Amino acid sequence: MQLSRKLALLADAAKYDASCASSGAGGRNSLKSGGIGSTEGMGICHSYTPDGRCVSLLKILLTNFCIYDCAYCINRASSNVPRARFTPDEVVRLTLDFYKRNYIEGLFLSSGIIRNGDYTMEQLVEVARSLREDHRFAGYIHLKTIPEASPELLALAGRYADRLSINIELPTEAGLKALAPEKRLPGIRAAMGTVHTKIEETLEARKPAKPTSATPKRKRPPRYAPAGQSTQMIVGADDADDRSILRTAHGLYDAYRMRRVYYSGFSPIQDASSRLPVQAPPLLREHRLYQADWLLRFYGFEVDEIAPVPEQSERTMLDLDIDPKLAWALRHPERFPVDLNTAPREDLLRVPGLGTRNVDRIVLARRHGRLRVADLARLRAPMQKLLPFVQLLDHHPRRRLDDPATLRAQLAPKPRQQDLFAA
Amino acid sequence: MTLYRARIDPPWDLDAWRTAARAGLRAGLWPEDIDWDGDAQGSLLAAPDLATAEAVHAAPEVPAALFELAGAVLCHREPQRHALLYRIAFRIAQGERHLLARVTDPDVRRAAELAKAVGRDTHKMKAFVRFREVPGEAEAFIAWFEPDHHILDRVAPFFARRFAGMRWAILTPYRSVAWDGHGLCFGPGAQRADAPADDAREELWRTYYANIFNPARLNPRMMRQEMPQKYWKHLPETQLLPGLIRDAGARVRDMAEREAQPPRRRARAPADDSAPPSASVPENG
Repeated sequence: MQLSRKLALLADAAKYDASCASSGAGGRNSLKSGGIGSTEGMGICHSYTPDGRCVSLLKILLTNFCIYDCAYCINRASSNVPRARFTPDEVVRLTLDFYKRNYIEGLFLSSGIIRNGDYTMEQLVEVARSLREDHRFAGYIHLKTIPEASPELLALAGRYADRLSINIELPTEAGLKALAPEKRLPGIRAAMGTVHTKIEETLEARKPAKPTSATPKRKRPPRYAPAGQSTQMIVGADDADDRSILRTAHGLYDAYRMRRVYYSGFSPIQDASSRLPVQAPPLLREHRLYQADWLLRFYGFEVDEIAPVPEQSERTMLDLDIDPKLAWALRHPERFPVDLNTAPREDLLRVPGLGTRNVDRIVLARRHGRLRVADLARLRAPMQKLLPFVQLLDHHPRRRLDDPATLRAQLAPKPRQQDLFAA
Repeated sequence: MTLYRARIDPPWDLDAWRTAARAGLRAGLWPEDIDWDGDAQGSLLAAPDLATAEAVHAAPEVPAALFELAGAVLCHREPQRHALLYRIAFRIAQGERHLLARVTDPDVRRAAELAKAVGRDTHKMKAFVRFREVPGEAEAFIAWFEPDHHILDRVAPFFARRFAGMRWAILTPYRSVAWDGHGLCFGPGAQRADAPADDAREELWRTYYANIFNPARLNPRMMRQEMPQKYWKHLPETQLLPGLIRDAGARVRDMAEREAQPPRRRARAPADDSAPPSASVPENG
């Protein structure tokens, strides 16, 4: 099979993995080695496809042959898609050729399971090893990790890769049983635990010894997955509600220090299984889950605040028409207005329309003078959304908070604008 | 009335601006005393060069953060940037020691906006430069790029760190830079025709781009926001865009129709018609 045909099939098969992050690997370059590649903390998006997604990594499968039959997956054993398989050397060459032309930050390599977990993982690790050792490649490498692979292979994978990921696949164990009958939650969680432990141990062992210590100079162990681990959950393929999704995500951040949990709205695939819903969930649902995820990680919110325990219905879904922070604020008018000149940082973070950056700017600016509406406008903050919730030297929202329903109607975008997300 | 003129050469150079600003502050000159528009020949009529101004003060203390900010702002094409930076330095020297922390101050805000535009341009240049291999030479690459601002000197070290093992050059309309594996060498501006017109790998790259795109999530507005059209001429993959966008709807409808077809038997289940399933997994094929 021609290389371009293989690339077409194995890129097509890889696009349902949402992650394309290339950040967090720390600083590294090729000036000393004379090789190719660098990472400088921040990732770079080298292109964007018409779905608005960033193209940062060469994201491909080694092969789309798979012995598993997960209903949501285009590569499942019972699907009719044409199959292809790269040799490890073909992947190495493609990665280097693309990297040298500045098309990509590196490689995100995944694979269908062929023969067994160890055999597949060996092939993935071989690609990463060859890039690092044979070609002095210092660009970014993300390896998808096969949960069934042996701990020795997991250890080797993290030596060469910047990031490892194991997909949790579905928000609940019941969903996994129904749609991915060969996958086992305990095995997935055990592999996440192995990777987590290894990352923590390596970080600890690489800490510089205290200068007072009398122990002889020890060699620092090699790095292990310096950009951490991430995972992905498919949204809308089963009937899990947003509350269960966020609770699962919160648990994963907590237990394994995940760098990211990706939410991948179930997308229609060729040759779909009849066990799946006919309708894809709105893309806006995925967007709201990411917003909620950010609130959990950077804004001090709890799952119960964003997606409260249901009172009447069984399910808690996030509002689609307004963002989850605004929704929380409208449920809690008693917490507002927040005085931007005096409120602690935690309270500023809860104001609708204020992001972490503008919160930091406000904290900095108010040390040197009390803030007025014009000061806030100069920060390019969304004033219409903000002003009902804040107090400034020359502004008070008066009675606007007395009637959250009216306020909600004023702040929710017009339906016409929602089409932007529904495209 | 203008008392002195200053010419920063090259106009994005931090050391040159720093020398001029220090001379102005030591001479006790107010912002309106200096004409920073050194490029305009007409203004040379009367005003003497700032370097000749007599120092009456010791050099004032200026925070390092100002130079960090100035390094970015100077790369902007905004004609008033030298004057803006001097006004900020002057106000700091006059006693507004925490001026840079007053992020809502109009001067500070304006400088931050210019620095942000330069930062964005820098980031997009790191992303959208596309090297093409020089035919007949091993591991030698040339890229043509048109940045919005004077950022080549600022960005070039990034490419040196990343592509240390290659020989490469980046050509822009106002300046060029080459890396020979050891050092950076800057030269004059160039033309698009000075870079190779094609690269054999671009067809494979387009294949990748077309296939990693998910037509079921079409959102060209988001794409344009992150990849503005002014950069498209540098990107070989963008010639596919009209077709990809046009055909997306039909491809999704096609997928939906095929959904009605029954799935085939599982590959590893006993097959009744074709080759045994294990044979369908080729060895490194």
